[in-house]
Amino acid sequence: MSLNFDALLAGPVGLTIQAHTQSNDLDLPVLSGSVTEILALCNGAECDARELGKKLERDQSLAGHVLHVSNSAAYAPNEPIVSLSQATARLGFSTICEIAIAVSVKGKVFDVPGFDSTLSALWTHAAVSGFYAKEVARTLRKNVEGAFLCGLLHGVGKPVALQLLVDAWSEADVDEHLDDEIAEAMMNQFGGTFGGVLLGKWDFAPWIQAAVEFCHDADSAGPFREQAMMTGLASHLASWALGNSDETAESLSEMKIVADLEIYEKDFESLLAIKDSVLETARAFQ
Amino acid sequence: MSSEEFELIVIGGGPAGHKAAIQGAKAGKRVLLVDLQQAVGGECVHRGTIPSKTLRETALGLWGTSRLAPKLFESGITGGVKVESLMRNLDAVRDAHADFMSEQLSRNGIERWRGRARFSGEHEVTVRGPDRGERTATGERILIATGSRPRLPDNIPVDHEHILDSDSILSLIYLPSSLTVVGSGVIACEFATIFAALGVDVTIVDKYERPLAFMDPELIDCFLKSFESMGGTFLPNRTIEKVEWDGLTAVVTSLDTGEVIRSEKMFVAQGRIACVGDLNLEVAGVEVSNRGTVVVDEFCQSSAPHIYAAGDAIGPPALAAASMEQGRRAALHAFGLPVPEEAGTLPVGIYTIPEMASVGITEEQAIAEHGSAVVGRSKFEELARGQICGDTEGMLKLVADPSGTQLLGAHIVGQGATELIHIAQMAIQAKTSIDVFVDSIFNFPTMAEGFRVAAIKIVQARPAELRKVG
Ligand SMILES: Cc1cc2nc3c(=O)[nH]c(=O)nc-3n(C[C@H](O)[C@H](O)[C@H](O)COP(=O)(O)OP(=O)(O)OC[C@H]3O[C@@H](n4cnc5c(N)ncnc54)[C@H](O)[C@@H]3O)c2cc1C
Repeated sequence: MSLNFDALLAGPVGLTIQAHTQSNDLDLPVLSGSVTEILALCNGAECDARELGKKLERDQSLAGHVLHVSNSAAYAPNEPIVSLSQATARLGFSTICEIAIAVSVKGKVFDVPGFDSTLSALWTHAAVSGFYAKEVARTLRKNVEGAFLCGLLHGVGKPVALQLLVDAWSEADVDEHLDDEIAEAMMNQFGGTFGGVLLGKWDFAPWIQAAVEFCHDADSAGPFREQAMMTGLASHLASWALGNSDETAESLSEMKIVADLEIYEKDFESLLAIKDSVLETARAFQ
Repeated sequence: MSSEEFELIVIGGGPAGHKAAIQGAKAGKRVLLVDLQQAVGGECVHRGTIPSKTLRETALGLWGTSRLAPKLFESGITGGVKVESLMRNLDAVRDAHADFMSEQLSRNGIERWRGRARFSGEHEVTVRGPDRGERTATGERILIATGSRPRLPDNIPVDHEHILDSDSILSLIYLPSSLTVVGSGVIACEFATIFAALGVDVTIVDKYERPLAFMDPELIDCFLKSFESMGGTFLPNRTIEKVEWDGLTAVVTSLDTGEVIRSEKMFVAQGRIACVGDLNLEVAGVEVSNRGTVVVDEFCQSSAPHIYAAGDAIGPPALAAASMEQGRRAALHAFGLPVPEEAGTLPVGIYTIPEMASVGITEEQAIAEHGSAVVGRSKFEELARGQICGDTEGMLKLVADPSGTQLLGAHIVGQGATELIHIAQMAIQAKTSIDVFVDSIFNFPTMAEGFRVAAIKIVQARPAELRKVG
């Protein structure tokens, strides 16, 4: 890396970034109208399959993705799923909802021109974290609903941070090439905070916001410390499962977060043992 | 690996272990307390009594208000309500309780290790932490107080998502519109009524004829009436054939009668099993019953004389207060200190809505033991306080000996039952005459007046030569 990230933050690029962060002036993506409607419908007391099918039909890209995911190995259909109502019936409202969020977030947020491979890797990591988060919750005999979204969205602030860096970079007219290491440093520094801000804007529950924002700093998550730790552990497990980190099964099992969550050996080994099925399920979301 | 020496090792820091450790330390012994969790208090504080009662308190408040001011709740209180928001003060309650218990341990100089304990010798316990670190301790005396966990039936796929147990139900993120409850024991009935009071459409399914069969049948009649008035359904004498999540919106439960129940969630409460399987008890020569509990005598001493067990690990009554007392008695006996006589009465409190409580013997038992019994009842609707609170279904029932002078049992359903029962407990323990209730002045308006009303009825029903009306 030719430019040191700290030095960068002290220069013009940093000033632009600071100006945006301090004034809360972030260019935050919005969820598409159809996703918002689907979320409202699924969360409503009278959720109706036909109604949901109609909403899906109106968003062609979403509809296509739902069909694609329903036919993937993760949901192992006995026969090909050809219609949206069939998909809704097979997958259930909450899964459709999760798919809708995933598809929308992927398209709206995980899209920074010039960083396709970085973001594609981030997205894969997000999906694996989502499925691992469910399993971590199950292991702890906590309700697994909601855990998926925490895992899936825990890195949602990173592309926002990256986009801000790209914009600040071009505003400051820096000659140097914006390399991956700087991009990485930026995402690590601001990803958590921006994630919390973004989910706040999207009206996600406070505990989901906190779990995302503080997944790697659970002590700051106040009453949502446990959810933050569960999300953080899911993220580590995902990195390990994808071979993105130097972690080994042993070093993972010795992490403080595992002890803090009081996951004992046998349970932790079970979490490691389901790696392949988690990867397979998550593939559906790519 | 060198082993640290202690005079008492306590495995499990719930009510039983906590009390035993304190008692051991008070006797001047060097005590080690081992628990899987850093936080003190056991299942009781973290997943059992305290969280469920906190949720209940909120439900009770809302339900009480909805009865007194129905207009406020015309549209109901379900639909997107987060269970967590109903337990808003849970963290504070739990932390306060755990801090208090933890402070007691420190004050008494009790050493604490976090980890999973297992016997590695008759007197030796190996503790493996969640960080995989291992330590060994040797104990002159050892107490097993490892508690219990929910029993998960083979034919019901508990996934903690749609089908929950008493651990995962506490982290539900919203109130479901409907709930099938499997089982009709204490935990099943408590949660069933809490959710029914919150407006959830609850169905209890059980293989037995009546719920909570160990309670006085009249209390259960009131309980069922009240549950049904909240919109609940009790389906007795049913066996579950199959349970599955339909992948869409409902847990589908097929019964042996051919009935099919669809509900948004299911709560499974079919008893608990003692957490003794991982302890390697064979090494220590500790006998385990065929129900999976540690076999102990009246002093909680196991088949290995230096090893004791208390609390849920030894089976019923599996209540917090009983566990504490067992832990205390075990520690006293272990060090040859005088053990007080076992309390003659053990009150039972069931935190359903409305709550129920009982002490002493039932009318049926009194007749079996004494040939006959004199019974007095007081309906809460006849009490000013009952009317004020809107508690018109509650009642208090006193059971006296055939002469109508000695109180043998009391059974209460309705507001304040779990508190009121202690008046009867004291009377039974002190062997006071029924007349004390008649001659005493009770505050007005209170539910406690019910004691006087019921006692007068007993006096009136006495054999003529003993009759005296208050
Ligand atoms: C939902 C619910 C509601 C309840 N409501 C009431 C109520 O209203 N009133 C009432 O009186 N009772 C109630 N109970 C019952 C009460 O909680 C129990 O009877 C009580 O907690 C038993 O205390 P204990 O000390 O035996 O075990 P627990 O409280 O279960 O504690 C056992 C401890 O042992 C530890 N442990 C287990 N295995 C090991 C090991 N190998 N090594 C180290 N540590 C270990 C565990 O981590 C735990 O901390 C309720 C229970 C539940 C589940």
